[in-house]
Amino acid sequence: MYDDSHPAGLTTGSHDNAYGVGAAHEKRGLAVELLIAALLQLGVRISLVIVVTGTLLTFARHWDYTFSQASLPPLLETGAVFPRTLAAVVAGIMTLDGPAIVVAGLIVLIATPLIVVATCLLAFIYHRDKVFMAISTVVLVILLFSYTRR
Amino acid sequence: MFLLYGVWTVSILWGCMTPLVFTITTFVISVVAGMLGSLLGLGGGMILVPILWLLPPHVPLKFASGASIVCVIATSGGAGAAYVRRRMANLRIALFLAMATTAGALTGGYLSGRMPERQLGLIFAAMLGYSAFAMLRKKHELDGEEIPDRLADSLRLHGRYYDTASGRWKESRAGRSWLGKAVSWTVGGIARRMARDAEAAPALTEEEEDGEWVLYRVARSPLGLGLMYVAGVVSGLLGIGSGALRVPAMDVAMKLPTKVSSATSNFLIGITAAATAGVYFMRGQINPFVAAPVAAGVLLGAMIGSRLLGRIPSRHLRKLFVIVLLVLAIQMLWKCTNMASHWHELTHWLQWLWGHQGGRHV
Repeated sequence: MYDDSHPAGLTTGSHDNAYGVGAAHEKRGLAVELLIAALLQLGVRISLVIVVTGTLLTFARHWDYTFSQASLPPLLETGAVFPRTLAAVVAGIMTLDGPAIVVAGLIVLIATPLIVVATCLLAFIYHRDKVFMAISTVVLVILLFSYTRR
Repeated sequence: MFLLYGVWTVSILWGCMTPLVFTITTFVISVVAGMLGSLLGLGGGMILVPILWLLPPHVPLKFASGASIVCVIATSGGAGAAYVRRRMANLRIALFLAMATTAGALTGGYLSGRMPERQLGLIFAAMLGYSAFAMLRKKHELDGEEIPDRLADSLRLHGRYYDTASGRWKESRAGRSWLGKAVSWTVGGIARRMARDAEAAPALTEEEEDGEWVLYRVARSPLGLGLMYVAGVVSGLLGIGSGALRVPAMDVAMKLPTKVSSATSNFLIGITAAATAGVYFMRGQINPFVAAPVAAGVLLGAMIGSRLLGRIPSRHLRKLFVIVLLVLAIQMLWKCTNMASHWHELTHWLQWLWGHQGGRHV
């Protein structure tokens, strides 16, 4: 007996003209929101740990970075060398390259909202909410489209 | 005194800018920016990009904005989790508006790769000036009349949130060993945590003691969609969250309560920033040497800021922040319009203007 009158939930929403108070069946909507919150937090924290590890590794492997002033400008100039593609990142991780690990952590961070939107899509599919299925699919496609090379 | 000490330290550090010193200074600046940002509800990226670009060693604008967009996702995710858990953020509205704002971010990201640094800097200066103006402006009061919005009705965007008088939320923390805490902080115990949160979340059907459910309706959702597209374009152009542009769209146009709009826009900023970051990453703008200290620093700063929230009077802080924004805007303008080379003409013109006015008064 699923009654979609709980207004604040992700997969529910309110009635057309009433505010729709008095819902007792919001358990599922609640669970989805807690899952999304957990995913957000998880993504941010995992990426933070990876980024810090990569930074420490970078300095551990390049002792000259701690005292050589000449080594800074090449890292910051427009044509600086660092892994710029997924393939380069994977190759860098294999050789325990610090910057590649940092970029991997940043990719985890960038992918977190993507995973959250995908979770929303799954929740809408589960609740057969066709309009919001379409909306979250559009958002997901736009997000994936941002990874195409231009 | 502190200022003098700071200037002294910084000048010594700049004298020997090695990669390590750069990482540490960037980290420290990012912590301060993240703290200010979370205390005032504005992302840290807004002040970080100009600082990184203007101060030596002059990080190129494209790397500065690449680092900024990454830290926008981090802060949005960190704060967003709590807002989503407390059901302050309306995820249906967020997803609905995300269609427009991610499309805008793609447009902006596409444009930013084809614009020279100077033009981007000018737009950035305008955005800084606007944010300073928006911070000074009074808060909008919601008027009672309802505007019928059939789109919002059919999408069931209306909602409610739990308003506590104290603004606090009970959240349980289990005591564990240091290692257990470290593991659970990163990956462990999602299911356990969710169960704990489910207990701590407000019971929807029962009345709580210190709070009440506040109902709200959405108005003018098509206009909100349009404004969100603009916010997305700005975010894609400059690599910021452009929260300052989202507040008018959600507060004024869509008539959402302030708490709901700030929580929802926080969530929305994360999704927009992901679209922008995708474009930036594919273009090679995300430089790990800049992005790592910025992301870690801003996140730490935001955590400290959220602890300090309520303990520091935000009025003076707000004034300070307005001044910082204005100074950065002028600095950006100065660098981008190449005013230094026209300084002579400018003084001439100002003198003429001064004399003209003086003459009229006499």
